[in-house]
Amino acid sequence: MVSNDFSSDKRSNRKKMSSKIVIAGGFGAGKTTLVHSVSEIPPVTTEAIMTEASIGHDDNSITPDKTTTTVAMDFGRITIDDELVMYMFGTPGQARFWFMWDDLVRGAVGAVVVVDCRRLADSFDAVDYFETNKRIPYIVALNKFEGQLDYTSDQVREALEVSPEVPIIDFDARSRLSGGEVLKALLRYALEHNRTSEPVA
Amino acid sequence: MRKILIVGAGHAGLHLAHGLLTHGYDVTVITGQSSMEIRTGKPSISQFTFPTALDYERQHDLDLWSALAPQIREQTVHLYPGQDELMAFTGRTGEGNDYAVSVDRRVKMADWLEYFEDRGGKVVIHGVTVTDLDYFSRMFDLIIVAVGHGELGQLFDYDESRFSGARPRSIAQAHVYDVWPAEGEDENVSWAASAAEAGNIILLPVLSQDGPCHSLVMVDKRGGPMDTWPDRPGPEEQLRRMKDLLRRYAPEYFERTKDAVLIDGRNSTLVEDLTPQVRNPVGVLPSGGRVLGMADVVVTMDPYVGQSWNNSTRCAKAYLEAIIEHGDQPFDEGFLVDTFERFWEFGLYNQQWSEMCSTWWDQGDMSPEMVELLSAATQYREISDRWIRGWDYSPDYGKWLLDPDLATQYVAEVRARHGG
Amino acid sequence: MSFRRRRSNRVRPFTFTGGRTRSRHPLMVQTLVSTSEPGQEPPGTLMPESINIYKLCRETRSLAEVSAELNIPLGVTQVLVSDLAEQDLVYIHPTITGSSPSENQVLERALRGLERLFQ
Repeated sequence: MVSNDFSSDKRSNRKKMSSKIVIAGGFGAGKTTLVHSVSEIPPVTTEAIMTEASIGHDDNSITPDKTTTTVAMDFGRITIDDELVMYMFGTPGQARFWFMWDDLVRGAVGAVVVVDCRRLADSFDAVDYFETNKRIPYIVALNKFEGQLDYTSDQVREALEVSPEVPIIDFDARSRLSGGEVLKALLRYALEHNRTSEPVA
Repeated sequence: MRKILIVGAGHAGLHLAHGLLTHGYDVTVITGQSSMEIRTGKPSISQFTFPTALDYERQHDLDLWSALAPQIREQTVHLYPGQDELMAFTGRTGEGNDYAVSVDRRVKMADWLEYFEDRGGKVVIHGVTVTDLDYFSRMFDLIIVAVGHGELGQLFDYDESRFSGARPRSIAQAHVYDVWPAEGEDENVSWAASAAEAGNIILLPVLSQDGPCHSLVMVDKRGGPMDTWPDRPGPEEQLRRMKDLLRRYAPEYFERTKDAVLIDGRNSTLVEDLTPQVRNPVGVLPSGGRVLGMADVVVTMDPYVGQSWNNSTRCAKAYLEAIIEHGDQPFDEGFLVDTFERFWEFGLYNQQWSEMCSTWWDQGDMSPEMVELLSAATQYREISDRWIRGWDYSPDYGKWLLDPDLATQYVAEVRARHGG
Repeated sequence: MSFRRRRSNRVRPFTFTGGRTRSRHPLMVQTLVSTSEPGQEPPGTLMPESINIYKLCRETRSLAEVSAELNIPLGVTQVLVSDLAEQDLVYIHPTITGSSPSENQVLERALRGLERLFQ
């Protein structure tokens, strides 16, 4: 159970560190499926109860009814080695909870926007968020439903206004290995991105 | 020591947080943006820090920029009454060598937040929901909500008894280089105009992240002649339209800004709508807990009067004094109400002054008393100085400017003294 | 006209001029937390939620996991953990964000790890 030698245990334990990848996308695009297929633990779903009053408004002349909404967010985990743990956080589907997105995206190594080709428009907000903020590198992952895609990646790039340098790949969210490829692609892009972009002051 | 939570890392919240920390309170600030995100984020409407507020900041070692910022010792007001001639007067910002400064919120708030953490304050970067506040109300002795308009603002109901009605404003702002000084005038003089046919204009020297520059601000009624922003133009097009409006409504401002260029491509402009209003300072949580709102959570003023940061500094000072004096007694509803009243002794006059400016031209022409007062201000430096100094301390306006009878009496006295 | 573009005019952040280098790591949802002295009992002065966090983090956990397991909202969990860290009761682990080039080595390690795990 618990080791008796806490001091040595403590020292090695303190070397542990974590990082995070954000999995974004439209409602039902396959975010949860992706988190599920790559995570070593069953994805944990946390629910936040929001009063509408918690939601940011640019215009404070609007007085919304103080009703409550439940926002679900799930996350999974991959233990890379003894010292490094990677978390995957799925964003809430509702794009209007922007400030929750900020909390999830802060300090992430990168993000994957999962796109369901049958409902491209549903992923526009997510792409727009990362294009506008430019805070972290992101890639687009097209989820192959029924093993096929309705659009080419060029068509998707144009429709969702994805920057030319952002990789677009296709995958199957239900497949563990295919999901792993997406994560690898993101890390490769993040490394390349770090080498080419100036460090922020 | 008593535990106090401040929600929001804005101008009022951080000033209070530093003050409480100085006095040994256990202070936590929770805010939705890290200092890095503040620095790289969107701009906000330019704000003045007037001499008395600067003095309060110095008491907590919070004036980190006076040596770098343009020091505004004089301010000029222009009134464009339409058909009639332009009226203009200049006054001193304060006594002696006193000055005001305007520091970009992104510089000031990011630094104050980092400094607070360095001094041992606790900072948590996370969005706050009403559910969270319910939890916090069991963990802290006092919760102060200091996030600007939006978000948790809806916890606080409107208070129409303190306010005569909301007037939606449309605001456009650009940070620019290469503004010409007026002939024979120091470039650190701040200009403010009011045009009967359009809205209000401020052209002031500010300290931005890229060093000193000018901020050009336009405020009009929503849908007014200077509200040409519904299509949210790009930065260059916005500046072009702003110059165009100045050429039309305030030629003196156009002369100074005709060669102005944006300080950078991305975050040097803003367009926003704002509805001035006053809310009840005590917010009620679903669990029945109480939170105290401060500064622009409770009072959102017409940005033209440039009083938002003056309000927030005075509010922080009033709250700090009230909390210290209260000692170990419970922070009950009575305390919360009294604490806001302590600020409102100042805020009330600011509110009246801002409403006066908002409605200057609503009846078409100004009242004869006001025309007389303005013409006296253009003649007697004593009056123009007092006018400008009122921006530092608006309760003085209660003794003349805000009351037509007292104003007339004051002008007569000045004229008599000068043998007029 | 003297207000013009000059690189030397850029205002340096407080952290570069007067501030200390932050000694503590920032708290984020993925940040790992562990109890400083796992063998000791939590101080009796702590609130019940804090005692639960203290006990739970005898085994290192992320903030999100603490929040989910104890059913405390994320923001509240952060405030509680921040308080515990202030009293040196818990240790906040470093977080790799990839935002500084010095972290590239760790990212490369993560990539190699993924290549090993998903092949």
